Amino acid sequence: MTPADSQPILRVRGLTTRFRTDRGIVTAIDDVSFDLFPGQTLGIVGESGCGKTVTSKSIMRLLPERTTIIDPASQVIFEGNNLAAADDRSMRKIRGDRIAMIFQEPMTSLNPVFTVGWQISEALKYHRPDLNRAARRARSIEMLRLVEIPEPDRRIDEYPHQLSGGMRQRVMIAIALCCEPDILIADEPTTALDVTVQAQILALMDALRKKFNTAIVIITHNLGVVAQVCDRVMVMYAGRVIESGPVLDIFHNPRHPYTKALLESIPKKGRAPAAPGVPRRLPTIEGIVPSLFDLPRGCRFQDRCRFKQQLCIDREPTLDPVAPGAPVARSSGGPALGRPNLGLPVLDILPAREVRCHFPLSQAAAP
Amino acid sequence: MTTLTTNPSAPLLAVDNLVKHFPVRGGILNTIKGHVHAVNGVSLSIARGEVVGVVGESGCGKSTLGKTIVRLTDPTSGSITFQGVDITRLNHAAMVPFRRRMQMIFQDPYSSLNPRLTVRKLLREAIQFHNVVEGDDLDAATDEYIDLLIARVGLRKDAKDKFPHEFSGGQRQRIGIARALAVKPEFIVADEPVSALDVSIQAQVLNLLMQLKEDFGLTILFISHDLKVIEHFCDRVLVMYLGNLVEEVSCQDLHRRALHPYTKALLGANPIDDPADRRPITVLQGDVPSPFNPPKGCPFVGRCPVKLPRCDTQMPPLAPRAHSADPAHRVACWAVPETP
Repeated sequence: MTPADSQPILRVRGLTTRFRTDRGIVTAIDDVSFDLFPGQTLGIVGESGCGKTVTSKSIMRLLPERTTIIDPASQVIFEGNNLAAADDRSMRKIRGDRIAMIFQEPMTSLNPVFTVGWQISEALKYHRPDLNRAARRARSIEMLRLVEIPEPDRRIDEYPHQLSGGMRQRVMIAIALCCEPDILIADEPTTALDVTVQAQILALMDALRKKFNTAIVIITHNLGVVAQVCDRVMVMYAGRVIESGPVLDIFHNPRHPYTKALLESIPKKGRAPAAPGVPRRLPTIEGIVPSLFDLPRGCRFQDRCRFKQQLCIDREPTLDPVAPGAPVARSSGGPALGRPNLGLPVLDILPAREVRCHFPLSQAAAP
Repeated sequence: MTTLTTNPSAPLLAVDNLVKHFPVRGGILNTIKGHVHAVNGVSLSIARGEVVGVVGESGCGKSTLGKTIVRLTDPTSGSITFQGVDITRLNHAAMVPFRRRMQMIFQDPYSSLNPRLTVRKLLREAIQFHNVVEGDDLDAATDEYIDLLIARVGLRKDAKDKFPHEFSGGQRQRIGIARALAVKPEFIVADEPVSALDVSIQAQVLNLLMQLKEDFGLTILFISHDLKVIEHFCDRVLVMYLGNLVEEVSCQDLHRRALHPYTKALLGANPIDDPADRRPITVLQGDVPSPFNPPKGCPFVGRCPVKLPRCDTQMPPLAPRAHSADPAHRVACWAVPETP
């Protein structure tokens, strides 16, 4: 199950999505590339408006067609097909079957007028036409049991409003996983939930990933969630990938000033408050994210960067490979990470560690 | 105006056995079917200059507690004493001087600011109602004061004539803070003031609040679901579950000395921000029970890993514990031995 020698299940290259708006065309995500391996959990992090949700919805082709332009050069390669250019019919076959998605707010993504059993069966009806009604019901109950919903044979006939927030998110996961997809995209799956329920859902997703060897993309702004469940991390800022790499390396050796500042600005658990009289202050990132309509010519982070130089104003940095950080202790559990040696000359191999900065931070000493 | 008892050692705010039940109506005749037990006998006291956190999951009654303390809703029973004056049953007119001294900052800075008023008008309303500024030319004096306030919360001068929708979330929260500060309060209830903000903006707003707290000697009741933010910001934390306080502990001791199984579960459920420190997430089974029909004994009984037989029927009191050095550390749990 280690992805070290397996091939990526999903390859994204140069994904660029633009929106037509009243104020003209705006580029929401610009040249996003990544690989996703079976059984791997990739975290996409960033603040609101950085493009993390647009990335996932572009892959799933869930954005409104009338106002969305996916750049024709974009490639989203899944099993030899380019999803970025696929027609509706083939996308419908993939969505919910091979690639499934769960959303932030489980109440608004479940249909309030149908029972949860009906909603799980709906996916099966479409993607598993060989199953009859009884088999679909049996499979739905099995899925509810799998996501640890108590009394699944009774709950199956209940409506979404009869369930708590955590239960609803479990139902969403049951729907997403009922066809045993290769990829699960989870867009802020725990943001609307309480911490104790968040812990339950994260543990459940991790158990199911191991069981089905599903590749998971978690989109979140919560760095704690990323630290706990992700293998790789991609940090986005104002529509750009600004840094990517293995989770340990990103957290212990952030090379982009934004990543470093973001990690520093969260209150640390277990750190006792300063002694009385000593002011308690968090390191902050001053200023706000630039508007996508009015991006600076150079680096998009320049206005908030402590290390800004003339070059940062003149020219936007490219996403360049950097040497992976000093060797750090491997966490127990989770697949070992490494770049696969692909035999296929299909697409370029992405570097393990990339950063988009003219002056990346120097490597921290090994902890 | 009411004469104040000037006892410097008395707490700024004391809440005794506060209860807030909301009636639930239903049926054709719209009769009362029962009550939501939002706050169920909460007692607490806050000294001047203290920052006290209230933590708990959604529906635990922490917002209702905050709103009841500043009398935005009326308590069902219990008492609220502010600087020695019982304000629980004061009428509208008698509350006015206290409204100036107790302010609130809300979670969602968009829905708590009137979208049809400019920042100047938003602030002026409060300032002039409470006669905060004086002078021959009241409008000019008010304007001058507004400029000062806006600068104080880190907004640009031209913000004054803009509408709330023209600001980002973080800036809107700064306006909310400016509005609360405008009347020179002594006590502020901050209800999830940073929960709607992005991480980098959260830190900015928390730092601003801490700076203002120091500069104006504010006393703050800080309500949040995020234990990490509370731990950073507060001196003391009150852990709330289903309308009840289950533990009161200083933030310095939170990790080492937390005793209540729910506090421990909250600490364990919070993801650790270090991928090298990855451990099996402590999973607390089940959901918070409905406050419409709370358990008879301990509110946490249905999810508790250390449950005893008496927990089903008897509510444990919030009391100091034997093996805690700090007498202010109070726990409501039968499984934790009491002070003899």
